[in-house]
Amino acid sequence: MIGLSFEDPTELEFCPMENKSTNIQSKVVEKKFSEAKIRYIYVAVLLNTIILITLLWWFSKVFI
Amino acid sequence: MHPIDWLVVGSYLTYVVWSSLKQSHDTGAIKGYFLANRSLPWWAVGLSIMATQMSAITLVGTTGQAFDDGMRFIQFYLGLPLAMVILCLTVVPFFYRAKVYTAYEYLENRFDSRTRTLASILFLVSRGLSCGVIIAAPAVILSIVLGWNLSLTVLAIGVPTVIYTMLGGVQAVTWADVKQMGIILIGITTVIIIIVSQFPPGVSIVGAMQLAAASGRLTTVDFSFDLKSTYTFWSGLLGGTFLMLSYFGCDQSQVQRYLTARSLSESRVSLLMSAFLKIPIQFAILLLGVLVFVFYNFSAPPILFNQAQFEEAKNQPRFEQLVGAHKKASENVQYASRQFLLEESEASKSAYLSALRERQEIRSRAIQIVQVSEGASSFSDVNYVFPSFVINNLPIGMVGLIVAAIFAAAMSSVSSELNALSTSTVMDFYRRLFRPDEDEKHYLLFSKIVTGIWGLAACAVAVYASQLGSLIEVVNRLGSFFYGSLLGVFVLAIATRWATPLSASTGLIGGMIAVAVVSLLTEISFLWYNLVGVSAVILVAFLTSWWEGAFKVVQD
Repeated sequence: MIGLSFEDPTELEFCPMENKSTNIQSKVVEKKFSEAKIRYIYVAVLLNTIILITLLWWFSKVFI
Repeated sequence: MHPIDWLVVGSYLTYVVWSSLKQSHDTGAIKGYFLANRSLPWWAVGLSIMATQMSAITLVGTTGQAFDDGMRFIQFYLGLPLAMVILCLTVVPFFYRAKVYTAYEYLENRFDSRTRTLASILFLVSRGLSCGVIIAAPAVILSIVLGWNLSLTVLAIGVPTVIYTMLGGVQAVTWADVKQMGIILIGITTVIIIIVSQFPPGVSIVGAMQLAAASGRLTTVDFSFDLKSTYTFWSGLLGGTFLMLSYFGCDQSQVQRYLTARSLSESRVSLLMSAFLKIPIQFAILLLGVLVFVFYNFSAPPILFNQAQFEEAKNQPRFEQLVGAHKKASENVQYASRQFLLEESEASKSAYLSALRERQEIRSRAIQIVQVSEGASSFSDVNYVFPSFVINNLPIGMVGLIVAAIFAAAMSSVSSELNALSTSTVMDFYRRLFRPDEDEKHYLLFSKIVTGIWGLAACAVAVYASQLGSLIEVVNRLGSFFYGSLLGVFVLAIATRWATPLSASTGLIGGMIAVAVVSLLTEISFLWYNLVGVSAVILVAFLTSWWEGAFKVVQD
């Protein structure tokens, strides 16, 4: 398999120092959208798309 | 326009400039000017992302397209939700954690300066020209429909946009976009309500949908697989996914939007907002076009929607006869529509479709007269359908609201692009290559000047683009050559270890050549070009890396 990898950009040398006050704010704000919540949102997006496509198909048939 | 409509438009332009500048804070450094100090809430960023993508061409052009051809265009966006999820999992965390100002900054670290420079140049040329086209398209239409001077219309769109973008940076752009999305959504909803309320007695929304369905305009999902057909389920889902990945993942005007969010998770949610809302919003815009079609079943439409060309064509022989025949055909359509709604039989449906065809044939003959007299073989006036409807059929005040919404759609796209062009010019070129040791004040001042210069350039392109119709075609094609190939380079950067700087550069050029060849030699729909571009980039890069012996190094 060709070497697929996702290099972690936090290891990149050119990253400037993070602003500490922004860091604290980021940590507080991150709780609003935790990783678990984001994953639920991904699933909701995909389900929503399937529902929308179904509704679009139904819409094009129901008035004929 | 009525003075009240002028008041509405003038008030909107003044308010959006004033309030956006008022909401801009801490723009004394380039991080505040370009990235809002990463302080913006997800919902504002999400609305800004949607407003940036929705130009006046979307509002005016797709309503006209739905009037003429139906709602198939919605399939163009079927790949967007999947693309947003993929971006949230891959590119967004990369860019956000790398603390880059531009998407191309990452390419320098991964590959080399040449790759970053090449990608930035392609972005600047492509977006710089398209910025002018985004102003030109609605300016031309509004100038003809409202009788305004074209250059003044261009300036009316361009100048307020340049002012708040130049002075307020990305914060002003984002908060202006929030208001502009608001006015666009209010405008669309209002017009839909007004059209439905103007149907004759006895014609309900269900009846209107039945008339539209009978004429084939409610077809939304086409499951046939035809590479030459642009709007099918497969081209939208597959080709559209790659197009959206390219646009939202590699175009600085969108990347910069989500880099301004308060945190990585809010950055992701701002993109996912589009994933939920874009398709329903586009559905509403297309529905608007279909409702205009139904409206004109009960009210005689103009034979040509472009008033300027109607005035020119009036002097042509036989045109007056066609106008008379078109009026008579419209009366037949009105009668046949009512009969179809009353009887709902196959015979009445057949009579209705026959009446529509007859009217369309008369309109086609009128269009031919214009084509011959102007020497324009591809004349189309669908872009004038919606503005013409607005001017001639909406109440006073509402006309101003919709004209303001068209301005809003244009300004929201242009402002984001100007801001992105300035960011890329300063960060990818000026600070990196010419003046790396200046202080923040210097870069900030230069950024504002560059924004103003790009704004003036966009207005100049807009004035000339309107006279060179083919330039719009060229600019759109340039974008389609560029996006897929650039996405391919980012895929190489993020997902492979074997890609070398040389292979990235050759891949990028190879991708663009491949798309050009496919475009010139085949009839494959442009929605597939991004997939072609990505595939060609990876293939050419793979061959180049193999030739360089990069795989041996990776294995060692």
